[in-house]
Amino acid sequence: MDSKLKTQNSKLEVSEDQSSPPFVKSWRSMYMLVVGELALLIALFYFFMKVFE
Amino acid sequence: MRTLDWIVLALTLLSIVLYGLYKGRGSRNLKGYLLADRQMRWYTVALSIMATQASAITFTSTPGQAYVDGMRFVQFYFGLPLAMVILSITAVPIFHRLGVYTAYEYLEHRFDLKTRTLTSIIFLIQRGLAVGITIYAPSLVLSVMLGCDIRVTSTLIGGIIIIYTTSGGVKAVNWTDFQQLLIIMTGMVLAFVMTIVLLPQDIGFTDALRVAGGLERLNPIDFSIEDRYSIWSGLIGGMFVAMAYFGTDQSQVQRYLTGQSVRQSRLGLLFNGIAKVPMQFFILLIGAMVFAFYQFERPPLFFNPVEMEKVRRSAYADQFRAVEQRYEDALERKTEAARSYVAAKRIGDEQIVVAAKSALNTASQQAEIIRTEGIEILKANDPSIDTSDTNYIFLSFVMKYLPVGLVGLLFACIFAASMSSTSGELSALATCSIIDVYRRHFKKEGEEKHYLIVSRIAMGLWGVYAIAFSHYASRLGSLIEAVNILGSLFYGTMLAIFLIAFYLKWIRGTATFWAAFAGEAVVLYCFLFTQIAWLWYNVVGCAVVIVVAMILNPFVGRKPVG
Repeated sequence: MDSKLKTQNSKLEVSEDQSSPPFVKSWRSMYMLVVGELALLIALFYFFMKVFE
Repeated sequence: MRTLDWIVLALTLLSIVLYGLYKGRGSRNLKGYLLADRQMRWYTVALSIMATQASAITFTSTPGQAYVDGMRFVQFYFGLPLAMVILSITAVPIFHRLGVYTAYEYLEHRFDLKTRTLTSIIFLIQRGLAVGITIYAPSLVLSVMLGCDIRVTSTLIGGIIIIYTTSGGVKAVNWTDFQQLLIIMTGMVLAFVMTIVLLPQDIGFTDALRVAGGLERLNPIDFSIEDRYSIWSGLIGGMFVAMAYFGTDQSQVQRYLTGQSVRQSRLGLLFNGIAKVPMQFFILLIGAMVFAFYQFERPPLFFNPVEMEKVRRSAYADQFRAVEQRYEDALERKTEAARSYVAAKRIGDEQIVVAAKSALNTASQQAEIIRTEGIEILKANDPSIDTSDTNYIFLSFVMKYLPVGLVGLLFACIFAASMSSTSGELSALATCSIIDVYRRHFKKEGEEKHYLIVSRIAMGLWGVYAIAFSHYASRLGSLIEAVNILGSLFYGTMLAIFLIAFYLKWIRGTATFWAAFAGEAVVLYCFLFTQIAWLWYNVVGCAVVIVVAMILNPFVGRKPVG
C-alpha cells in the first residue's frame, strides 16, 4: 500500500515538474517575465527620481 | 508604550507562537522535523524565503538608511531577480533530484567529503556569527523602549525563539514565516499611511516627495562606478551576493528544499525575485517620507534617547543645551526653506525653484553642522558611544508620532521579523550540525529517534550561542551593513565552489578544496588592507577560487569526476 502511494506521489511530482508554470506557457517565458519586471522597475525608479529631483 | 500597545504586542506574539506550535505538531521523524516532509506549496516557500531574508534589521535600519543616505540602497537588490532565475534553472532541480537535507550534501556527491565538510563549516561559522546580530537588533528596540540593559532583552527574546523553534521544527518555521511576513507588511503599510497623514495640513504627499527629492533622498538609481551602491554594483555584486545567499546558504536553501516539487520550489524563488525589489523600495520610501516629515517637525539632535539622557545628566549638560538651542533655530530656518521650496515648485518657475532649492540645501547643511557639534559633545561625554543613530530613527518616529495600538503593532512587526529570520537560521545551523557533521562524521548508524532528539538539542544550543554572541554585537555600527559585510567575507568562496560543482564538471574536489583557501585569503586581505567596497568581495573571492581551481586541477587529486 505504502509503495503504491509512493509511486503515485512520485508520478504526481514528475508530472507536476514537467508542467508549465502558471499564467505563461513555458518556464522560459516565466524567467523572461521576472527579468522584464526588473527592467521595468529600474526604468520606473529612474523616472521617479527625475520627477522629484 | 501605553497599555493598548502592550496588549497588541503580547497578543500578536502569542498568536505567532501558538500558530507555530500548532502547525509544527506531529514532526516525529528527521524528514518531518528538518524538511517539513517536503510538503510546502509555492506561496509558503516564497513568503518563508522573504521572511527569512527580511530580518528585524531590515525594518529598523533600512528606513533610517533612507533618512540618512537616501534610497540608493535599493540598488543592492537589483541582482536578486537575476539570481532567482539562475538558481531556478540550476540549483533547484539538482537539489530536488538528490533529495538532500543540506546544500553541502550535494557537494559530497559531486566532489568529496572534505569539500562538503569545509563548506558546511564555513556556513556554520558565518551564519553562527550573523545569527547573534539577528537577535541583537530587536533587543536594541526593547532596551530603548524599556530603558533596561540590552543583555536582559536579548536573552529574553532569544529564549522565546528557542522554545518555539525547537518544538515546532522546520514546518513551524515555514508557516510562522508566512504569517509573520503578512503581519510585518500590514504594519509597514500602516506606518507608510501615517507618514502621509501626519504631514502638516498644507503639505501634500507630492510636496513631501519634492522636498525629499530636493535634498537628494529620492535617489534609487546611480550610474557612477565609484559609489558603493550603484546600478552596476547592484546588478553584478548584488547578483553574486544573492546567488551565494540563496544558492549556498542553508538558511535559504532549506526553505525551498521543503517545496512539494521542483515546480513549487521554483515558483517560490521566482515570486521572491518579483516581489523583493518593490518591497525594499517601499521600506526605503517610508524612510524618505519620515525624512520629509522631519523637515516640517523638530527631530531630536540625536535619535538614541539613552545617549541623550546621559548627556543631559552629565557635566556637559549646559554646553549640550546651548547646541540644542542653536539646532532648534537652524531647524526653524530649514522648515521655512522647505516651505519656500514647496511653494516654488508649485509655481514652477525654474529660476525661483533653483534659488529655493539652494536655500534649502544651505539650511540643511547648517543644521547638519550643528548636529555634528552636538554629537561631538555626546562623544566627549561617552567615548564608547556609537555615533551612528541610523538604527533609532524609524523607531523614534514610531514611538513619538504613531497612534496608540499601532505602536504596539509596529513593535510586534520588529519581533516577528526577528523571529522569522532567527528561526530559519537556527534550523539551518542545527540541520548542518547534525546532517553534515554529527551524522556524517561521528554517528553514522544511529536510530531516527536519536537524530531527532539531537537535532532538537542542536537547535537549542545554537540559540544559546546566538544569545551569547548578541551581547557583543553593540559595537558593529550600522547593523544591516554589518550582517551583509560579514556574509560577503565568505559568500564568494562558497558561491565559487557551487558554481564549479554546477558548471565546471572537469574540475575535481581536491583542486576546489585548496582553491577555497586561496580565495578566502584574498578576500580577507581585501577586507583588512584595501578600500574595495564590500559588495565586490563576493566577485573577487569567487573569481580567485575558480581561477586557482582551474590552475591546480591538473596537478592535484587523481579521482576523475563521474
